[in-house]
Amino acid sequence: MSKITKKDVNSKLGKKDVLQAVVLADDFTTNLTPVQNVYPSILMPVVNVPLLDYLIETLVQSRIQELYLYCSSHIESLKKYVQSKNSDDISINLIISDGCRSLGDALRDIDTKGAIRGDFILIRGDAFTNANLKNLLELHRVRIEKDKGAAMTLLLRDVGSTNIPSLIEESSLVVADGSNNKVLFYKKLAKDEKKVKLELEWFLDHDKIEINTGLLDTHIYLCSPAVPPLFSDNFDFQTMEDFIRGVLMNEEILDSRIYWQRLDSEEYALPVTSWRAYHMLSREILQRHSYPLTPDTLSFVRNFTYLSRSTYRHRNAVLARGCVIQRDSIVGPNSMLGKDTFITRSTIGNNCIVGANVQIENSYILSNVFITDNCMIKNSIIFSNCQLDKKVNLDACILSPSVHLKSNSSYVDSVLEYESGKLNVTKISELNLDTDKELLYFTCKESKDGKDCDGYSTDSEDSSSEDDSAPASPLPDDTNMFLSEVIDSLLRGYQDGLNCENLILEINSSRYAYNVSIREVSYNVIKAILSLPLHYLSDQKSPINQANYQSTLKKMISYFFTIIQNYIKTEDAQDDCLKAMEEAATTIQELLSFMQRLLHLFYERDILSEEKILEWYELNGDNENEVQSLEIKKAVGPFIKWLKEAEEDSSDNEED
Amino acid sequence: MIVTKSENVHENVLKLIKDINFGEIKGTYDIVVATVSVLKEIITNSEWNTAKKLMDLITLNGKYLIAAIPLEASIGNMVRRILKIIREEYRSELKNKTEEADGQESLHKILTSEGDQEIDFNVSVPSLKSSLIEHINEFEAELETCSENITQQASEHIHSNEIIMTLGRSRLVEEFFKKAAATREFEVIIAEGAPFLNGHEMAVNLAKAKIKTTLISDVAIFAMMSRVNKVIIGTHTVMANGGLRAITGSHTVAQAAKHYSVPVMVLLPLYKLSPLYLRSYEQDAFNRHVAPMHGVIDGANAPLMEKIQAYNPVFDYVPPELVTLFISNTGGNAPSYIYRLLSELYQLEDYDL
Repeated sequence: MSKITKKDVNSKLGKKDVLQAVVLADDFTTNLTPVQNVYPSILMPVVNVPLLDYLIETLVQSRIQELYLYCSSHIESLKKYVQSKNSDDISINLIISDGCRSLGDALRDIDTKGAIRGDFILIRGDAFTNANLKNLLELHRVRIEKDKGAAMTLLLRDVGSTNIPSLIEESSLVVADGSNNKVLFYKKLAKDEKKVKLELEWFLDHDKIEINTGLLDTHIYLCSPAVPPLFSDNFDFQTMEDFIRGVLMNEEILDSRIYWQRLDSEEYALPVTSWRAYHMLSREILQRHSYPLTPDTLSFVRNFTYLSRSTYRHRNAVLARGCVIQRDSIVGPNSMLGKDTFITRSTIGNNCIVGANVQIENSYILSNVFITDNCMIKNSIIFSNCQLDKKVNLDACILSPSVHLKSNSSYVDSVLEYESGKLNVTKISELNLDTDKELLYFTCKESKDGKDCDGYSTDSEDSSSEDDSAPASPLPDDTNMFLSEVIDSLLRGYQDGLNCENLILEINSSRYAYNVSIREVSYNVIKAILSLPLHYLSDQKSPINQANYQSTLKKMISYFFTIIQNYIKTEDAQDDCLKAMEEAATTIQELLSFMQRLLHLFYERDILSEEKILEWYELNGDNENEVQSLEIKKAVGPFIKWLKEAEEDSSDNEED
Repeated sequence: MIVTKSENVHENVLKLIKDINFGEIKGTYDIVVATVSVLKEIITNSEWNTAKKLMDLITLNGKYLIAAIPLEASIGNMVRRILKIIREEYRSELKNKTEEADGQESLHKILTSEGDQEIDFNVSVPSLKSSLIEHINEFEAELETCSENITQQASEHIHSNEIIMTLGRSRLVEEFFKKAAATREFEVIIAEGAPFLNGHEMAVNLAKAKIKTTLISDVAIFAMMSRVNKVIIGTHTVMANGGLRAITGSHTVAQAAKHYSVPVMVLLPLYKLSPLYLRSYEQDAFNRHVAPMHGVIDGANAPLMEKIQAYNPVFDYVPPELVTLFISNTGGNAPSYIYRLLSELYQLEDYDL
């Protein structure tokens, strides 16, 4: 596939100096449905220009001379594209592999083909950047000189916070040595994850540690030639995350280290990982954050004029009278807009014909689309060659190429595509789970934001309540942790109404995790249940007083009865149970007056036997040096008396 | 840079475009010199036999250059200058050929001579090439001495104990001050020129040259203007009406100066004088809008960037009525005299290439 150009000959002479880039034409994800059926992700048009064009522009500016384009699907269109981009500045070579399904496969394939001679830049098919990659590669080389095992430098862009809706999927936690940017830990944060464990060693072994969640992976990696063989040796590396995790875990064995590099704050990069990111990228290109990669400065798309409020118009675009282009919009060459048409935050591709009185908001209309009068298009993506008849109403829709919609039809929240000649409508919200969130940028944005924020705030509350409970009980570390774990699971179980059987399983698994003996388990479970109302009440923000505590405790005991029964079976366990009650009563004032009713309850429910209670009472009596135990004794006195009487009664009955 | 290769465009032109776009050739002066040498190369090395053909060739390449780098108006100026030189040389060569004896131009002859339209550029004149090269060499020498000629005039404009304000950094203005400082003492106030803040560098350079220098932020321009005797600034281009395309902030400075009736002097090497007008502020290729991250807002604040829209234009347009005097390499000229300079420098036919 490679074309032999002058540059190619030159490069063979001076092998060392040739800078190479590998671009994966596909990113092997389906986040941008249905793009993968239409384009390889690298040819996805952003503001009317395929992503690859931007990339090539950046690479040429960075003096990269060889580009390997790795394609695994849509090979014909890529071939055609590369032929059209005949350029002296950069030689584009295609590496074709049909069966490749992941980034790992691709790199293994590249390794076997042996195209890589030195340090290279690996770019995933959805990346966009205007950074000077040559300088960054130089930095990477300096790093390699210091550390022979430096395998890769991650390029991360500091965006301040990834806790905004369009980037939330991309947020990751990076822990690095502050002095030399060596990555110690790298993890994509899942949406529902609230806790991350930080290793103590990181802090002990390094003078300076940098922990950051405001960094965005640009999907551009500066790699030493050792990277493709690493992929070959470890066939389980599928994604870049696998690779990073694998290398970090086996740093010693593989003798490879990963570094990271912050992009200059003036440089821009954003990978198109979802429709939301696509939306953000389009807007920021139009707002010129990506300068010089903007429609009016790109050398290959001439004749765009930059107008106020970030709107662009091609010289050959025709706007009829009364036509308003409000903001963040672009109208491509040979497109015609009809009378009184209103456009805001939208891109309109080449050769589109839009009728009169059409409203287009937040939408992307690719080339050769025909829209008739009085249509309303909101939050939608319309691929090329579509046709919309009069008064079509679209909201949050994605139209596959060549869809024809009849007049007066109206669609909301759908993907429209032709399947064997019939128009197929799929609800976006009903698509499989991992993609719907990405697509949802179009609708109900606000509600989602709220939810996300909540997720973060409860996180901090949880941890603080744990901290409160910790100093109250002077137990050894593991047991203490176990106790708080049990409290956590029980509280959650109670609030969410989980099955007690499942909670038992959960408690058992934490028992093994913290290596706690069975006697401690029963002790701690009871203690946890008794202190639970306090946590519950503070969670509910209701006042903690005697009445509240007692009523909640009653409810909880009946709810968790199965659990109590499960753990308090043996006599030893009963001892532990009583001890736990005593211990709890000394710390929780509200429990003290409830003590005798509690004993009664357990007695009635056959959890505690009469003998054990009396035995405990007697034993407790010996321990007079403690004021509290006296109080307890006082508190439960009437019950013991009753118990003794009852015993006498029953023995009398027996005699009878 | 993906340049669709055109058969007729000279390869050096393509190289020049690449160099400018890569930032290897920076600054108007360097661009001008590079452009002239490329055009000279075309004249010497390509095949042509008549002046007409040569002019078409230059126009073609020139148009290509201008389209590729629309912001550097001086490139267009140079193309027009070379065309004018070709016309002049051709005319004089033609005259030498026909009426060998009389080389002198009298006023009478100028008045009675017929317009250019009547001259047939299709006549082949073999000696044209050598005389052209000679003339262009002269022109190159003129370019070289251009800034020197301007700085020579420094002592005429800057007097002892004056307070002078300038904005940002201009190599020419810096030389101008240094030249004046050799013979007298004066004070310079430099507005830093946000968001690019070139003024900082300028202040350091002037302070090193033992000139009393004060660096102020742009917001203080108006407040400081009352004590300033003179404003001296550089410019990127001068439009045909005498308006300036200069770095952002220039308009502020000029308006503050107007308010306090402080004279504004603009250093103008003549290669920066363009025969183009400003049509509207939305004009294609009048301004360069760079990323707002270049000094306006912090890139490391995504939540904020999502909500706001920031603009970052590089140039200001300063209308001619705010300019008191242009100091060019041929002397001081008022903005109203620009039209005359234009007709001296360029041929009317070449205004619109």
